[in-house]
Amino acid sequence: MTRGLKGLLSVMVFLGVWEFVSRSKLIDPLLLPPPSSLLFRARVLLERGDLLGHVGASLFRVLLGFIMAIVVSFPLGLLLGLYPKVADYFDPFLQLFRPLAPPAWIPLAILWFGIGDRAAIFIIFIGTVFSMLLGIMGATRRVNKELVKVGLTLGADQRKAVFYIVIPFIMPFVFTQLRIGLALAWMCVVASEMVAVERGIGFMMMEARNLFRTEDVLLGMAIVGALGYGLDLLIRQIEHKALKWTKGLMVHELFGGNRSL
Amino acid sequence: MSFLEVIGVCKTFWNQKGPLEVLRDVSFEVERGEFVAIIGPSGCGKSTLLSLIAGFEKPESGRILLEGRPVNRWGRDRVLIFQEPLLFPWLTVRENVEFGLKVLGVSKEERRRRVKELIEKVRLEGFEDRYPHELSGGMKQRVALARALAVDPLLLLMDEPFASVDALTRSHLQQELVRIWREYQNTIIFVTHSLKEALLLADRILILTKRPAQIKMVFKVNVPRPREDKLHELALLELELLKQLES
Repeated sequence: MTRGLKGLLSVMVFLGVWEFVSRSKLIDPLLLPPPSSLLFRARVLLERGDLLGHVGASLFRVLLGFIMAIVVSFPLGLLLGLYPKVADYFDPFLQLFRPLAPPAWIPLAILWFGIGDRAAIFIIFIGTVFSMLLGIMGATRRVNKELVKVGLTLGADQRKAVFYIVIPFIMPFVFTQLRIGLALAWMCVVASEMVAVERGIGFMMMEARNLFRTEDVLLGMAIVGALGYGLDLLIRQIEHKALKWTKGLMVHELFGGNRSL
Repeated sequence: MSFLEVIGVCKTFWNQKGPLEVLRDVSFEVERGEFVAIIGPSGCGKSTLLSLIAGFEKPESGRILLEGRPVNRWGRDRVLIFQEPLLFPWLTVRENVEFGLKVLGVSKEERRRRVKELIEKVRLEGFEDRYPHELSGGMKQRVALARALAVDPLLLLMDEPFASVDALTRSHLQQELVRIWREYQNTIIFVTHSLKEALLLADRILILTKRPAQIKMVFKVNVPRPREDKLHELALLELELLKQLES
């Protein structure tokens, strides 16, 4: 049985059990509606046109906030990794801001940006940028010095050594950071949409809770899960294509597995 | 004026435990096109000496002149080859060899031509598109050699380059190195801990003392090349040299 089939099978069993406990009223269907009614609601909401609007709004915020976080954290992480003396100046800020959970920024975001996209995007940015920054900085510090030495003796200047050696070296770590960052971005978008916006999946879920529409709450959760999974899969596909050279270098091969993803 | 002049070089490293004097007043000269081996007990400072010539370290006192000009920092006229091949794992064999030419901005056609020639020189035809982890240790070291030769260095600084390959591969690599050196007429400084290897390869051998390293003896190897079939003669030389070193 292939890997995909195994996964599919366990999902089918899970949905089947869920459908059963709900339909047979082992659990009150008002609190846990069966998956079939979620599908039904999804169709209704799609036909009404609300659902795509909410999903689109969330997706837009996640992607924009996440991309902004990459644009800031990648060059800054490289810089701080290469120049620890500069990093010393940044360190207190990194350490002070990092433990602040993204929702802790919500009041400030609303004061600064009002209710709307900008507040949500700001929270996603803040919620992802520190983790990615530290990850990229750490990876840069662990670049093999001897390998850079080789590049320098072959005529690379420092700028070229960064582009041709440091960056390729850290790429596997960067992809890990992207995956962590994207997951954080989804956490942030739902949290921020529950208070700071008037559209989006999180907003839809809060509204559904007020109307006691448990299907819509669960539907929102399912959509966030599915979109997060889909985007993660996309990053893994890109990683697989871009980092072909890591094939055959991974430790899991020593532990019986033989998978690239 | 010699091609490379090392004049009264001293080097001390400082760490928590205090100073560690590595080199004490080391002076020697190397002529253009010469193959010089440096030999000495392990940890004596051979690698430090190479690092100084490469320009990654600065001497405490003394001077290093290459073609009369002081060595300030690294440059592609002096390429280092280490015991580990240190290939770029994300680049194929071809791209590794091409690296120096690429950062210099050599045109694509010229790069193709040079790389093809060098890959033939180190006998790696057919492996151009492999990644380093798909190669054996000896093959990796050949790639490292081709990659260094690609930038046409005046001086090849080799730090025990064949120490981590098996005996048979080492013997092949030694022969190929001599063949390539004679063809390209580079100057080579070759650090080794094997007297046999030094006698087989070098025109001259610099023998260093224990740390702090000083030059104990300079030995000229007057055996015509190729030397692979003169192992008896080399063995006698080795015995004589060992006797001299003990006295």
